[in-house]
Amino acid sequence: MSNYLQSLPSIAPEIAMTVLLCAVLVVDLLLKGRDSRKVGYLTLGGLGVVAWLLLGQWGELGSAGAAKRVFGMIDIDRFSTFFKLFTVGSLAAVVLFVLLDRRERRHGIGEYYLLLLGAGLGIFFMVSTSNLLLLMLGLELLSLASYSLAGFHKGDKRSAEAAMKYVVFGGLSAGVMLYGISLLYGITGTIDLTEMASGPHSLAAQFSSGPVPVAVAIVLVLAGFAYKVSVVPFHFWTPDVYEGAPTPVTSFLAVASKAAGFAALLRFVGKLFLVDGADGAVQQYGARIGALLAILSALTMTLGNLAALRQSSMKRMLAYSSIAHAGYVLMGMATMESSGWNAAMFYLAAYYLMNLGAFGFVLYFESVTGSDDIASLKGLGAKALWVTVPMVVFLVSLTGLPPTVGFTGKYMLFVAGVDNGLLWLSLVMALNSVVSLFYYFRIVKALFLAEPAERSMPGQSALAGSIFVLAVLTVLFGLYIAPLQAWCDASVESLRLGAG
Amino acid sequence: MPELPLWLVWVIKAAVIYGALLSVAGLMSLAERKVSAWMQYRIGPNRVGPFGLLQPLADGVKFMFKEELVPAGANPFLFRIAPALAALPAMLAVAVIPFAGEIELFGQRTTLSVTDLPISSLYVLAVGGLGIYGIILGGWSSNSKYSLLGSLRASAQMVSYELSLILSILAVVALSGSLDLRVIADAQQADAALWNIARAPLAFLLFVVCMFAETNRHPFDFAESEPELVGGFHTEYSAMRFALFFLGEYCAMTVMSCLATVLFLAGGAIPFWPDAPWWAELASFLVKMSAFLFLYLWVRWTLPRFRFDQLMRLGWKVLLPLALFNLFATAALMAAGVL
Amino acid sequence: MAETLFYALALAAVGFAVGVISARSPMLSVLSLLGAFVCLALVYLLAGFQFLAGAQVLVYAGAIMVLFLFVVMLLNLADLSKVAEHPTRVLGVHRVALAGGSAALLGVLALLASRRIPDTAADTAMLARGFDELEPIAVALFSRYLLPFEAASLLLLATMVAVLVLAKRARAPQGPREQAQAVDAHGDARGDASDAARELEGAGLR
Repeated sequence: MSNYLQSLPSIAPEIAMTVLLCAVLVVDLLLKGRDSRKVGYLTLGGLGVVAWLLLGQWGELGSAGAAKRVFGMIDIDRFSTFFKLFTVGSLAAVVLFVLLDRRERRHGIGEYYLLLLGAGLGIFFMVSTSNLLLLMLGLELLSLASYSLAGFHKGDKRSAEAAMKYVVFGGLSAGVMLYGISLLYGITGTIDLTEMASGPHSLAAQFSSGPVPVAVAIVLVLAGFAYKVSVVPFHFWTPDVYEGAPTPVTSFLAVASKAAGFAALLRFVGKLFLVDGADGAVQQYGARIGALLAILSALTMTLGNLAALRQSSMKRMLAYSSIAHAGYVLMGMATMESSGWNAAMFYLAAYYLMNLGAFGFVLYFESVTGSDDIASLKGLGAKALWVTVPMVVFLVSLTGLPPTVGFTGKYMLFVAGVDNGLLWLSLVMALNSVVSLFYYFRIVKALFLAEPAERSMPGQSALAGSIFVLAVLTVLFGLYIAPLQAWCDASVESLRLGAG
Repeated sequence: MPELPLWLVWVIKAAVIYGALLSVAGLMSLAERKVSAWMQYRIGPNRVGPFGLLQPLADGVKFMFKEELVPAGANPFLFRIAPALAALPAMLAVAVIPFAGEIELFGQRTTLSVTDLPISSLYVLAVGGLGIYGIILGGWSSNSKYSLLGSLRASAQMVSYELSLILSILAVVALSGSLDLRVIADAQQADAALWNIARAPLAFLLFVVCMFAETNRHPFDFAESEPELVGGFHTEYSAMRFALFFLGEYCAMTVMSCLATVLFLAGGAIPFWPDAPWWAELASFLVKMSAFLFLYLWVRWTLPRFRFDQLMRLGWKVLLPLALFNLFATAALMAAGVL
Repeated sequence: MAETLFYALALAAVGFAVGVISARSPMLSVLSLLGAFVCLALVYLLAGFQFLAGAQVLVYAGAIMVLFLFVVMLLNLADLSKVAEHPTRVLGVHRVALAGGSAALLGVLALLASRRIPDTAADTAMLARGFDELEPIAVALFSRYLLPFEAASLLLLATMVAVLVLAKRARAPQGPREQAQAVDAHGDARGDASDAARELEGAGLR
């Protein structure tokens, strides 16, 4: 018991989030739902506290990948702390989006913030646990909150459609994943990833004596992850949900939710297969998973980019682009080597920055033009330089051109692919980047190369300011990569340590 | 007495207990009319047998010879099995009620209950909770709006009050540290100050209120509520199936009374007589149980029926918070060493 | 004996599960699901997990399925033929479901073929103490599995809020009343209970 009490400070961020969630519930109740903006400010303040706690934890952990495990299932390492920090950042951005946008404000009732916090808490559990039970609970917490957030515009049919599709696909994939987990439990007798990798009935040992059950179980679990990060055979829901959901929610789904899925996937695959000094069976086993990931990666990026070419809605286009980006990250994982995983993590960080910015831009223009159609942007470029220029930066970064963080990430991925015998995949990625240039620059063309429009742009300085900050960061981390690089090294190291 | 094999003793025991349950249910139908007559300054049934004691038998015979109707548009299969589904759970639930301690029966030492389960209180709740299906399916399959409304109300009501019921029982479970009804009864012993009614009075109050709601009895008899819904869920039923619904209701009342006796009044224990023989324990159990059964009838002719919104408000806004508070308070007092 | 019973129950559970998705009437679907739950409870009982079996019947059969029935009765989905075709085809759900189902079956067959299901030391210790007593369950729940337990409570809280938000009718200033959204006849637990009751009656009379 005292053991658990001593562990409590380690999960202070999670506790703070829970307290905040309850506080939001109670305060909204006391205000009788009349002034929900106050609840929004409370949420922002609380998120600040959580971020402060996380930063403290980050400092304590040191740089040597010093990980510890509390409650027998939560791994406190820089890997999880980093994802938690970014989650808090994107949550704060979404709350700001809701508070600042006139159309969104109408829907910004107290429960909006509560569900966002719930989803964030789900991510906290997902990214830091190596226990499949807690992982599943975190995933469901995130999913259930996301379903209802996607349907938050209640009068809107598209929003309802988005929520419905999300729920149906989500339920199905959760079932598939849970089934895979139950098979894994049946095979190894444990739900802990570390025990699965090294315990008496380790997965590798089971694999060498009978590969089929293990392979089926792993593939089923991977399918669940593939849905969450919208990898190709499980991507159907993405465009419709992203389009129909309220834009701040879309940005949350595209950025925080997807990255959390990747974080959990990285931990899952890393703990099981990225083992130092692995014997023959594990290596052979890991190589097969790598090959599977490589094929999925090629399919995902190609299909995502080709489909994005034909979209006229910005949200749909960004949805397909996010599918393509999932393919890029998978490519780094497919190498099954530290360098590739480093690159994948770096790319995830880049993905956070540039997509959050791009969705902020969509929200900004949606509130002005009332639509997310690319055509409605025509000629507005010069009217609001303080947001259109950042948008160009984000698009440059999404394409993967210097001097942005997106370029650095793609470069690292390319090199890692070439180094690890995945030359073909690197070439596919390069070709895909060229394809993506076409659709990203349709936005630039609409903004700047059309007749200047008559309408004026009402200023929303706070929203524009946050977009601007994101753009600065996008460029900054593209030029000064050392801190991000250091984090990636520490993270991969902590995954390996946990496995060994 | 000849010595019989154990399994035969069990069969005899079960047969006696179920026979007793059915007799009590039959007598309840008479008691209902007698007590109401008494309270309304009437005489009540007195033609069949002395004091009308054979009236339930006469009713049974009459029900058997009545024509059975299945309404047009009804789902015949569900319509036919619904009454059985309503009656069965209560009869199953009685299996774990500990009427008295160990007895010597045909050369075998055995306890006076059909069976003893380590999770018997959970069993009673789980099996008893299934009784709702008979009411829901009966109402739905009748293809009648009165029936449907009756079963809708019943399901909403029973689900709502089941929560408070379980929470009030949990307080008692916490006090005795077991889910076994026999252990719960024994833990209260013969000293009345240790009875759970004294140690957890709020839980007792909550349990009694929820007991009425769970059995769909006055003042919560919305599933039937004659003035509004003709007969509620059983409007379309006739003959023996109609009687089965009533049998189920009386059995459920009996089981609930037994449960209240075990949980709060120490089962068959008698104050100041710690070593009472089994027949005394059994008699005291039956007296306590009858008191609860009488309470059912007493309340029926004393209180007016609630309105449905009042019922929901009472369940969700009064009883549930109270039950949660009670559980918390009990746990806190136990931790503090008071209880 | 126990093995035969197990296979019989397992077969019955699968049969009921097939009934859930193949029954024409939603009422029968729900009843099939009930049957599957009861079969599962009996399997638990067979394995010696009395508490688990009781909890399964109490929670799933006694409470959750009642609410399912409640909703089915209110929605009056007598004619499923109208809704069945269109949306599933658009979603391609049946194909995905078919693929998932086949994969699942494959998994079962593969496991059966290998027939080596080990047990770990920790779990055998727990099994030895048995699940009849409350204490080992409570201790495990509040020590080893404390965090998942709390996470589950958060999950339920968030879900409850989510459902209420989606099901609640919009307040007057938030635009037109969204009748279609009012699937929830059970009412807003926070809102006026009499409102809920009136809705209940209204829905029943329709």
